[in-house]
Amino acid sequence: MQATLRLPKEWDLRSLRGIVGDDSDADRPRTVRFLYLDTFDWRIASSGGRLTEETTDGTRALRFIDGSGDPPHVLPLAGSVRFARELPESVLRARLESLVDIRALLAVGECRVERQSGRLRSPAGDTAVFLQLETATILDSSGRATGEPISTIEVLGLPGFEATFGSLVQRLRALAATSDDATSLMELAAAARGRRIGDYSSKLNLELDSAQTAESALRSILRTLLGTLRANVDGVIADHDTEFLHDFRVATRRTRAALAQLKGVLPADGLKVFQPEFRWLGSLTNPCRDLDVYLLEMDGFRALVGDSAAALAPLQEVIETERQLALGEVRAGLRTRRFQSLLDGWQAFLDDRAADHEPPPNASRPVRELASQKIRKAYRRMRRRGMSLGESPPLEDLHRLRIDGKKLRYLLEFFRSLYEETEIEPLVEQLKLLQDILGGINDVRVQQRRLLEFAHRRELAGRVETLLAMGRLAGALQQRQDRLREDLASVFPGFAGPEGRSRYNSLFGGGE
Amino acid sequence: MRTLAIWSIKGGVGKTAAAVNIGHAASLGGTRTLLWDLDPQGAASFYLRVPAQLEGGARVLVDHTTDLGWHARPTEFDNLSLLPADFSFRRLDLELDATKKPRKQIARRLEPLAPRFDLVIMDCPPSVSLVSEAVVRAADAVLVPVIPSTLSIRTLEQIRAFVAEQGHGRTELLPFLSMVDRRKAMHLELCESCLADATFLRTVIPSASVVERMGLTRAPVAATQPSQPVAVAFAALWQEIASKLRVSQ
Repeated sequence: MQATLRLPKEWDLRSLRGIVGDDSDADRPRTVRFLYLDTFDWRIASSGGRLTEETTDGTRALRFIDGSGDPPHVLPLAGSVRFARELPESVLRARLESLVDIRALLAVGECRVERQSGRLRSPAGDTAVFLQLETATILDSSGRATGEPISTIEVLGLPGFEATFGSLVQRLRALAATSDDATSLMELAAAARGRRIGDYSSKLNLELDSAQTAESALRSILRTLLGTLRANVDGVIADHDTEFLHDFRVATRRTRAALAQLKGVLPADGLKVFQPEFRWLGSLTNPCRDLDVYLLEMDGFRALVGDSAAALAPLQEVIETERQLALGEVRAGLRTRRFQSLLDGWQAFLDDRAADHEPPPNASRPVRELASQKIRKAYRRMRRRGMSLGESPPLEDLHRLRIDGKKLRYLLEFFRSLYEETEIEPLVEQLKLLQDILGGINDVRVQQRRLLEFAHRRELAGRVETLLAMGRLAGALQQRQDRLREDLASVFPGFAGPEGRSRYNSLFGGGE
Repeated sequence: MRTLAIWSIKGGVGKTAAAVNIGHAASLGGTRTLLWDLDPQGAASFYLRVPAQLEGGARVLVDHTTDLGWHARPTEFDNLSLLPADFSFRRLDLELDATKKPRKQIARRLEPLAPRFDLVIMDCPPSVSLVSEAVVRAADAVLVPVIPSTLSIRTLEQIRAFVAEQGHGRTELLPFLSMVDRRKAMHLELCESCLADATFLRTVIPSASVVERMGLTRAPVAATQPSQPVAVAFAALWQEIASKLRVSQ
């Protein structure tokens, strides 16, 4: 039993006793500074939860409410927290880690709250209802108050005291200007910082229309991707977490894939200018991402080498140092005029519909027709390559198969809204599984190569234990790759065999 | 999730006061704690202002179709929930006995609580029964309040044997000195000899009128008088237990 009501503006905390009667037992009011925390892509809010860092009387605590009606988790904090994994081992850490994974907890809103807690007792002295009255002033990113303060009262009734709860809520609702709390404080606080809950997602959520021309659909896909690029720039530079760079790179790759595969839709002379620039963006960010992946895998690597885990510490240091340098390159690149003019020029190109040139051959084709044709072609290419592979194909061939798979996956993701969800989703899922295996095989290939490079580093010269642990790691990675090869052999036939083929044919036509 | 039983064969040794104050100390540090009031007298429920009534009564405790977590009640303290007692718990032995593996029942009922709580504290009735056997079997540690009297110390030996047998060597026994009056020479003498035993927790809980007043304030001592020596002692006792149970603080 829970209700949250917005109170009239003119009320202050002293009114509490007046509303709920003299039986209430109220604590003294406290001033609390609230920082709403969430990941850049709103993983906590979209799960229905709310995480705040609250400072009151000089003490700091993390408060998490999961939205299920369970009482909040409250964890005293010594300093601020950026990653869930930094918290002490606890139910709260497990909950947060499963929600936010490797994403950083960022401040998405702030307010200053006058809070008074109270409770109604039963005649026997038991707690019947918990009350919390809050008057919040929303602060913008520079800490200045914005708008009028907002007062809310939260009422939580305990089992067995339904009547007490009901009559209290009724009395509160009967008051003029009391309203149910429609817009949460968190939404308002986020808005004061120019954010909206759910305004960013790393998923490509495009709603295309079958009747659209290929040109208008492609422009809208590319604009969305440009939006993703722009959204992540600040986070990459600030290095909040590794996912900003990851999302930035995925948007770059998707852009490049769209341009490479959907030729003849946009004016070719313009593309000639931008394609090399997006390639530059890819190579600018490659080294940093490789090292990020290495560091993200480090826990797994330590587990692979068992009791030699501690000996990997010097390797980690080498990678961290190198990653810092690589990040420096990325930051410098993103601050160049070249990058700025790429974004601006690309935006102008996508917005410019001036038809002062011959329209490209595919521009006015219906998008679904073009999409189906391209998906068919990409599927056939990947299928053919996969089927031609022998018993234990060379890694280079598997790498090419992975690239084919990426192209197909991007096409499916761009155009999924044009097809029946129940039909296209299983294909996306199947391909994802296949790509995870191929990606895993490729990761091992890259990691083994890097391991050999690192082993020659001056910093590790003479560090026998570290080098031996790296040797063990290389061996363990080889075993992982062998297992992945077996997985591939069992998954690929479902994709390329008669059943897979007929699913692609029936959805995307063809069979010619 | 770690489980702690607070138990003694003797009554009046400060068992429930310890359960409530230790539960509160744990919750203050961020440990998500469930205090399970297994004593039909319902004193822990009373202290935390929760009616000592459980819908479904003792049967709920052996009914595997319901999640015990549903019956957990929030208290006015963050991170501290309470599973209330019920007068029907006086028949809990009979209910347990009617099940297939009575000594495993409590452990089985605790399992589903693991994703929601870091710590479960079981406040057990002062008796040797099937309930205590099942509780000892389920607990990672049994906390035993010992008042400095010859009888109480003698009882500890019986408890030691019982825990060794029922806990199958997996349950740690954590005796601590409770309700110690430093003005009494005999208390001091017996304390010294108890503390010579390395299994005793080092923190000594003094006898204090503020603990007796918990019946009036209906709150843990630290919630009303945090600077009282006994409140500080309970916090220190919890720190010791937490490090034994390896609960992050």
